[in-house]
Amino acid sequence: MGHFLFFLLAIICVGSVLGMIISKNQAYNALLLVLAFASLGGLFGLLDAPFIATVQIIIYAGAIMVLFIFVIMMINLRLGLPPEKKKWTLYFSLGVAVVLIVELILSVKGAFSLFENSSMEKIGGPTDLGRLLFTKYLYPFEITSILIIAALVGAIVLVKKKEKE
Amino acid sequence: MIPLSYFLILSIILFVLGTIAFFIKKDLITMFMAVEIMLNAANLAFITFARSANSLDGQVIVFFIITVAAAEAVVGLAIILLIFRQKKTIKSEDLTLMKG
Amino acid sequence: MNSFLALFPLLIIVFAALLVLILEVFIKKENRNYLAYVSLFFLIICGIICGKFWDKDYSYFDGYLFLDNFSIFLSFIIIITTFFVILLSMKYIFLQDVNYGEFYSLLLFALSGMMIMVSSGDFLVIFLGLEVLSISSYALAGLRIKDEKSSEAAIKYFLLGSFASAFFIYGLALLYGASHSTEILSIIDYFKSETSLSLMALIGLGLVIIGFGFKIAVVPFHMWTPDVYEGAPTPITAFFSVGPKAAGFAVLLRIFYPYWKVALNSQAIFWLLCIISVLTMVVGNFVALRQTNVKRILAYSSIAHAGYLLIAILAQDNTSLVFYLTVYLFMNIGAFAAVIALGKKDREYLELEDYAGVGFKYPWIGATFAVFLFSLAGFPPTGGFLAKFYVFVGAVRQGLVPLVIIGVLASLVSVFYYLRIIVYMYMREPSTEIEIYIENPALFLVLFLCLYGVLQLGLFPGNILILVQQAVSSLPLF
Repeated sequence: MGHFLFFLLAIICVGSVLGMIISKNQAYNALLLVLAFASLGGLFGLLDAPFIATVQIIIYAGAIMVLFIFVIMMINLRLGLPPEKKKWTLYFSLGVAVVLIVELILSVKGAFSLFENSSMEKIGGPTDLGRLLFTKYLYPFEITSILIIAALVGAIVLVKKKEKE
Repeated sequence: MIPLSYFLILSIILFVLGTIAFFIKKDLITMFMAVEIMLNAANLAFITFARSANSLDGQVIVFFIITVAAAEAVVGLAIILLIFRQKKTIKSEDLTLMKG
Repeated sequence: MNSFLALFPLLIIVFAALLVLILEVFIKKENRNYLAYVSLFFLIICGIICGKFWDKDYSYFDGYLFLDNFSIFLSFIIIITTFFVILLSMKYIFLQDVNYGEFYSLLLFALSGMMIMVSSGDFLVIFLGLEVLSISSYALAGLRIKDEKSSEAAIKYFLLGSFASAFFIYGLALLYGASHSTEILSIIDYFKSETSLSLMALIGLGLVIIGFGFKIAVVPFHMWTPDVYEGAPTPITAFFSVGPKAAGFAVLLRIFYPYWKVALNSQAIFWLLCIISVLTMVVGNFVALRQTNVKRILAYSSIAHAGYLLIAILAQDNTSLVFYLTVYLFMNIGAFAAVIALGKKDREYLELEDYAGVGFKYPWIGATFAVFLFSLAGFPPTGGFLAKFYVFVGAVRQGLVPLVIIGVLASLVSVFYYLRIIVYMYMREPSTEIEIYIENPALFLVLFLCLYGVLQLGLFPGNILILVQQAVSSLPLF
């Protein structure tokens, strides 16, 4: 079962990255990347990192890629939408479906093994991670706050319209 | 149990694919996506090594990498929007004001 | 000593950055210079506090942050750089219309990133500091948002910078996998022993060097440098050419000072760095010969200087390296200050042709510019000569004679393009009259201070050398 899941997720991941290299349409590229990141999330789950897997899907496949798609939309809207290709959407939705199934199976599997041996599952849990983050890794954690505010200020300065004289 | 080397090999494949994509793609957004793939390959490697060392440190580092990726995405997309406003294009071969 | 005080310098800079950001809302556009004064004030405070911490050896967060003398000295270098850059920017942002309060704020954030980098011995923290620096730098490069060149500079810097970061972090992943640690000393400790994972660790270190190579602009990872230097606002170019380079070399020193001592298989990395150093000196100097834009010439010159600095890394000559960085700060900022001086409202003079006759029309600017160029080329009695001299002598002592020969020949080539600017300034008839905006006391202060620094370091380097020696002797070894 583990091997099957691994190869399924790995093939989806590499396949969608290859698709991104071949495809010329940025919107499809972004969606393929969402697929790749989601399957990577599944792989993290296989590696006993359930919390990181969740974060990967929420932040990477969710937030960051939405940002990408947002920008692509802003750019494409003025150039006119790309021609529709029905086939792609079909494959794409199939891919999303497969990933979703895998994720669900993984979460169920986690629940099963929680009953069987609880010591294994503890390793990547949110409690331990959180504790580590606020003790040993407190300084890097604080640095990320500087990082994020610098990024925010930088982005706002660059895209704001020139102020009125 | 799946051998951890499988994960490592996958991570290397992803990193190499990301590098290739960075060089052969011509539009700025996809080039940046290629960088994101490379960062994710590093994430996968970190988590694999964390598993093999049976420690959580690798997983915490992945947190920081995801944060960095988010911050880079914010600034990077802002710059790409700026370029698009000025040039009405985001092809890398149109950036030709400076040569030499 | 474990003390919360170690955080102070960093906290002051971050506080100043946030304060400037808030004040910007309340201050009228004409009065934006007050933001510069506030930043300068906090920089001075930070400098004084750093001075007080000399020899105290504070550390905090279990070795993620330590203020040994080395960190403090490097912090001084980058604080002084930022100080000069802010002075240079005060009129510039009015003249070239980049009048944003966020300008100073981003500059201070970039400074805080560099301070994080130089005062840590852990790759994770160094990576985060590097990212704080890079992300602020991407925004700073694109700050002249009306100028298409500036945006191009920003996107090129951003794409190649984040690409380099990805290399760095993947290299770190491999190092972590081999040694189960991100701390520099425990990673180096791992290199003591020959195990089955050595190759992976070696490749990891190679990738980390590549990542840093982009930041400190060594060949073949220098492609972004000339374009970014040309397109970015000129004070920011001055900042890029000194600050990140100093921080990057500080980290390289922290890696390689222990590495050469213990590593069994250091040959591969040694040769890698040798090749990079030679390529950097040769390509940097030869390509500079056919540039006609002064900013581009200075960009290639800064690439070439990274090559000389790498020789010092290879020769394990820490004192010369830090001394070189100190001199480089004054001569490079000075040269850019002279370039900025030759500008007026909405116009900068950057082509060589524009410099014809400048030496007679503006004798003070011309003369100081000439001194900085002589120093960059390495003529006595300037600091540039002594810095290069120490590096080459140190390398000869370590038996790196071929490298030194290439270095000397390369700097002979460099004399040509530095002198070319001087020839244009003094021996060409001006084809067009250039006019400059003369009421710029802050800029002349920078010119004067840099001139003083270059001559002081060239004629009486004794005191600074003692400080440098104290600084490098505090570098952690096993």
